[in-house]
Amino acid sequence: MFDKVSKLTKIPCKFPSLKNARQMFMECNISGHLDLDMPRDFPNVKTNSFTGGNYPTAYMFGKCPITSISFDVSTCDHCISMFNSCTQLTSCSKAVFMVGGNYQNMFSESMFDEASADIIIAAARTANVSMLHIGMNSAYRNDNFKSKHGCEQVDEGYDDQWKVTGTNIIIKWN
Amino acid sequence: MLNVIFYSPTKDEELEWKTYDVDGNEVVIKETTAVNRPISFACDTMVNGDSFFAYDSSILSFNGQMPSLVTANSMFECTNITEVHFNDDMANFNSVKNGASMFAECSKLKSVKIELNTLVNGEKMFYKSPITTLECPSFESVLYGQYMFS
Repeated sequence: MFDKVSKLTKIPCKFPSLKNARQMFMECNISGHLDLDMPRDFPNVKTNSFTGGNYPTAYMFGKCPITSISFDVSTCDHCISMFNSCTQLTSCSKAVFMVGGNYQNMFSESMFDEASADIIIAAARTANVSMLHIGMNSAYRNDNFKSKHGCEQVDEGYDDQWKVTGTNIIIKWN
Repeated sequence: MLNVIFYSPTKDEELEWKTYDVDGNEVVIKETTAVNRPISFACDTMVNGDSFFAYDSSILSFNGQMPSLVTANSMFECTNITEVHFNDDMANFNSVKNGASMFAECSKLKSVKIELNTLVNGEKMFYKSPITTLECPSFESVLYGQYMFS
């Protein structure tokens, strides 16, 4: 027995259909920019393709040193915890969510800058997602947040189970 | 390179490798015998898990036509494997039914190339193996990828 982890740096291939990708790339060295455009890279994915278990995408890229993302998950009904604990994640250039999806803990413990957080939150609002967790850098945690995004409820932090650092914002639109 | 043929055992048979040296002489290798040199496998069907547990060889190259591969734990903790190739003559080899922990904890496994379409169970398939190069050009479907590359 030894304690090494994978040094995989790139997603090696396309997976048109994934059932239960929980922790699939967790703690791999997938770094830099991740372009996760499901309608293109997952051409046969269906709205229920991420199924199986309670949290089929939990920690799928967890703890990977990803620094920026572009994603279109409009065919994924819940991408729960997909990027959980990607603490180097600061930038997002494109965000598309499935309408009404659940993105609980998707970006917990990330460190998005203001522009990127705006893209994600606006996309989430447009799609009327049921829940979104997003970690933002401290510079963007200001009093204008509610008015800027029209959130009816903004909570800080979460329970101890997810080891939240205090930078997370839980967004709910009622 | 030696040609190593894996015979599909029944429950009552002993696992056995049929190999040939460079002069064409048959050499029988028992399941747990270490072969510390590159080998290739021409397989019809692999049905037994734990087939290569802690096997001591550096390169595994599956060149046979294996219509069915059920190999949970088959290469688990193989300490000297550095490369694994599923390639060549792959006409009937398009499915891994159970790849759970198949290459888990192979401490020197750096390169894997798998040309197949369907992976039914990839749970912990490469768990804690230091993969740096992985090619899966023909994957179409993966079910159960938990911890697959973790």
